[in-house]
Amino acid sequence: MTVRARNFRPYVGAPTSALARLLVLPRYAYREVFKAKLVTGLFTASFIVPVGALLVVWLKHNLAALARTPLANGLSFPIDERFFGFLLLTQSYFAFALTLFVCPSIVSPDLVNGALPLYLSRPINRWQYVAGKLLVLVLLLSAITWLPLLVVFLLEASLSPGSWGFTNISIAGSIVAASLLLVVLLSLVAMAISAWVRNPSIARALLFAGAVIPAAIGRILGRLLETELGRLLDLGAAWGRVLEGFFGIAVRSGGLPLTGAWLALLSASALALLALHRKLRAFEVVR
Amino acid sequence: MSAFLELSGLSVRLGKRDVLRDLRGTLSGRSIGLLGPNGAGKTTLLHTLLGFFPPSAGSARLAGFDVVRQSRDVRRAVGYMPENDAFIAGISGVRYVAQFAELSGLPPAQALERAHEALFSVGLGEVRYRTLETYSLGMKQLVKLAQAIAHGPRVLFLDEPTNGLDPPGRQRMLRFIQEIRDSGEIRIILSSHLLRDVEECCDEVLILKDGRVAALCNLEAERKANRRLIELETAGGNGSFTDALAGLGCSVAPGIRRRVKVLLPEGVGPRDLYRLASEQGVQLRHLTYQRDSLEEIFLRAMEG
Repeated sequence: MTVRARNFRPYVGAPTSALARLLVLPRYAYREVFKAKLVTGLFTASFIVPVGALLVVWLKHNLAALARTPLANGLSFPIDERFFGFLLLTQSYFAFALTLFVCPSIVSPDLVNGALPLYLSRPINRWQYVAGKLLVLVLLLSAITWLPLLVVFLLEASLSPGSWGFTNISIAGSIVAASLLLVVLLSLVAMAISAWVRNPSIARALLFAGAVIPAAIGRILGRLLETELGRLLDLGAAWGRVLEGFFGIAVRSGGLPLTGAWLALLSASALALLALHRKLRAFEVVR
Repeated sequence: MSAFLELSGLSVRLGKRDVLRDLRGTLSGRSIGLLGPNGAGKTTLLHTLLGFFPPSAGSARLAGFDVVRQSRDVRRAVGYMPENDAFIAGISGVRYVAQFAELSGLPPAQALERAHEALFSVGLGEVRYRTLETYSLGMKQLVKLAQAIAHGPRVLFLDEPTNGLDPPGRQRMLRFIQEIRDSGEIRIILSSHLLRDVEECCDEVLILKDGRVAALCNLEAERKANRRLIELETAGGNGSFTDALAGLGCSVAPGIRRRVKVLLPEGVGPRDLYRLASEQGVQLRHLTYQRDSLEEIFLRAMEG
């Protein structure tokens, strides 16, 4: 039988599950994402701090080993919520940098070349497409935020005497909650910008500008109107304030009210969802 | 044959414009052509069947599925080749086809195997590892076809499949569509503004004009009916040939220059005409089947 004749056979096997179809998008996207050496390098570099943290935790519990290092006096700080707060803050910069490079290259190529109708002519809907593409970033950013930090937490819990892990279980909750907030916010905003402008380079520039310009405008407004509410435009500051709330660390959030910070982050996510709803259609209707 | 596409007052409004208006009809052909001038609503009809646009009124059923309520089943059954460019930059032909096959519900190994087969089928086997940006326009049309057939759909939507192809490429594409049709495994809905494409590939045609059904015709039945209508040109004889034809039960319409149009009754074939001509001492210099071409049907529909 020739290849050609075989090709018209209908597929008679059982179709894969909805979840399996959803995971097709991240699976294919990762192959493309990690083709870029910059992304691979950045992703690898994102583990330097968590690995360092693991080492610190291990050293603190191995006094004999610690005594042989020049850090003997430098590691006197406690492993507490502030320690994990600063770790997450550091990881959030890596998360932003990764988003900057990864996100535009996972959505824009579908939109700019008209591939979206092909996706949506399959048994997946628009929101499954969005979820599939979001998963690309969510899994990637999770791998550098809450997952390694939880490993650090578990190491500390296993090496600490008594029930340190149970006593400080709220830290683990804060790590997961704050990380997921960051991951979802970054993913949604980046995807919305990428869907809106379609050009990966412009999307990157806009995403970067989006982190800098509103902050500047917020500060100018703050100076002019003598209020800190202008800083609500600064999503970075809002995220910092939420992080303060979770871990009790001092981030330069400019005295934003915690509720206002949450509102700013949730509003940004809602706006991003609205933008995706408007832009991710099989075909745009010209009214 | 059971109804394959049923349109029951289907209307679609996009923005402030009624793009499809009260489409009604039942089609059951193996290969259905959507014909009409640009802007007639052919592509909108395909997109509505795929669930991209919600009907503003009425309903439609495709392969037994309601296109609104069972949209997922429809999309599982369909392979769609869009009119415009639809590719993903940076990935190879085989990964492009395999990805869409997986999204249609095939396991990864099956999807990859079928992607290779589909690309060989359409003649892109040698270039399947090249990235899509390096493909020519004709190759992009073919790779779109490959992704539409790779997952073994029951229905194939082809939107202007010969767009941008040179004549040999167009012939190859049409031949390929005919092969798919003749395989009997896949039903085809082909949208085109090119009469020849539809005529060569389809056995039933829905002609659209300004978003309405202008005509619905069964080309297969027309072709069969046309096989009974023959045009003859004769020479010689004593003029009694037309009477003899009438004696065979034929309806005869004389034309100019000894040409006659003959409508053959059941049981009478061209062989009988040759025999009769021989008996009458008449030379048959020209014998053709009358083709009431799709062009005539289309023009009548447009005038209507």
